[in-house]
Amino acid sequence: MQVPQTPNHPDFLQHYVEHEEALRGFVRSMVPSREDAREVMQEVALVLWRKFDERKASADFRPWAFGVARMQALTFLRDRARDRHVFGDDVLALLADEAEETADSLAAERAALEECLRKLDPAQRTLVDAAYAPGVRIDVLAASAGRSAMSVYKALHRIRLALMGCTQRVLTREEMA
Amino acid sequence: MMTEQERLELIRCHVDGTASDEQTQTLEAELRTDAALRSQLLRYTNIDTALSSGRLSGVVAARSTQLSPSNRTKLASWISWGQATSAAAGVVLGLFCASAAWAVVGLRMAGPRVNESLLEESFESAEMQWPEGFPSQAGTWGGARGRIVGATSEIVPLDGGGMAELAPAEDTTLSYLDRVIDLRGYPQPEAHEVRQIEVTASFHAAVSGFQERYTLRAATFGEGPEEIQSKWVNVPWRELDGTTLTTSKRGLSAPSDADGWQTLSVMVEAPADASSMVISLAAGRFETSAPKTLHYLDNVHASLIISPRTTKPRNRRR
Repeated sequence: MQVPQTPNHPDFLQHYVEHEEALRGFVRSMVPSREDAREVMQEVALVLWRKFDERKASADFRPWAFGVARMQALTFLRDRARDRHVFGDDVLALLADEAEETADSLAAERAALEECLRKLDPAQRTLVDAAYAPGVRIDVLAASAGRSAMSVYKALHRIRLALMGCTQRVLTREEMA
Repeated sequence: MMTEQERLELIRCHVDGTASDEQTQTLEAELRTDAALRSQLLRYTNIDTALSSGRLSGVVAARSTQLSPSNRTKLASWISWGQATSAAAGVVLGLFCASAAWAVVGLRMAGPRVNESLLEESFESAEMQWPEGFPSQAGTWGGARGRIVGATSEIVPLDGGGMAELAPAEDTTLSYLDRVIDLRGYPQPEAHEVRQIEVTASFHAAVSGFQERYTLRAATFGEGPEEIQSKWVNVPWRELDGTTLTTSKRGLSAPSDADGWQTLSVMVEAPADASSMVISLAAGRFETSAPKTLHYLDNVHASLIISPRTTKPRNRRR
């Protein structure tokens, strides 16, 4: 592999760390699994790193990075899912615009999530801990608990919706304070 | 016109990877015209991504899918709605979600029928050696030049008193280790079951301050171990398609300030006709121009799990 030109390391890291979570969430909205999102994000990080010094000096990092993430996700989807329907370019562009515009509010929701997680009851927390541990497959997790995969998916769905509602309430309360 | 619940269910199916093509097309059409739905999808994936990032103090980074007995009880109680309720939910969900049929079948099933260890390696024997290059036979390691060492001034083995120390090859920044496992003679899945292998390994760099890249790959083959050739395995992963039955890969880019052991796990399906599996572990610097360093490896496990099939087979290559 050809060694890339070394970009401005601290500058790159500062930008990347600031936007990584937003990019990851955007990628996750396009690909069908967390593992896929991790794989795409590795490529995104690599491309951003390699091209960091090539981008126009005046270009904002955020829109440029979202554009790279969109292209990498699209390439991944086309490579991996030739026989499956994937979102069209126009929809991905709309999602990219929305993700870029709402990056700050999504970051605020992530910050509020910590408090909301503490409000889950112990059984819900156990399920979240188990389902989001690295490498876990829901069907295997469900089988080990003697339940169906669908029942776990539905339970997680209810928790995610509850967390979305909770983060909104926390942010509203903070705005009112 | 879809209800709010139906829209959220479509998002869930998409995020959980269980959406059918028809559902994906429906979601796509809705997203094209509905800004509120786009916002909802992004907020939903935002939560999902944050929970999976491991950065929230509330989410424990468990290292195995095996639940402790107490947590299994807690989990079962949380999910327990009673069979009739679940079955009804499955039928309703069937309108929206491709995996519902599998889920209803799964209701009658218990946990895994088989959970058998294939490999427990914590690199404890100081005499252990391995050839440079691909392993010469099943049940042995092969790869980068290396040796078994005890704790260093900076690094304590994750399991026991020993760990593998790997040196990068001259022509690459990567340190790597492979192992071939003979699957013949291990239990086979029945028609309604899936046979999977979970592989876990932990990595550590000798010197911190650089971004590290770790990779864990597992691939099954129809051929026996004696027929596996290194050229089938030591290629870019996307080129494996022609020779493997199934593959699974997990990569991790550890930041320069990462402290401690970095653990990766993969799950690969081992179909009934799989005769062997190759585990490939690699560690290197994210930045190829960074100075080379030693890497350590410890606590490599592989378990064969046969459980009721609750989802469609994944990762099948041919």
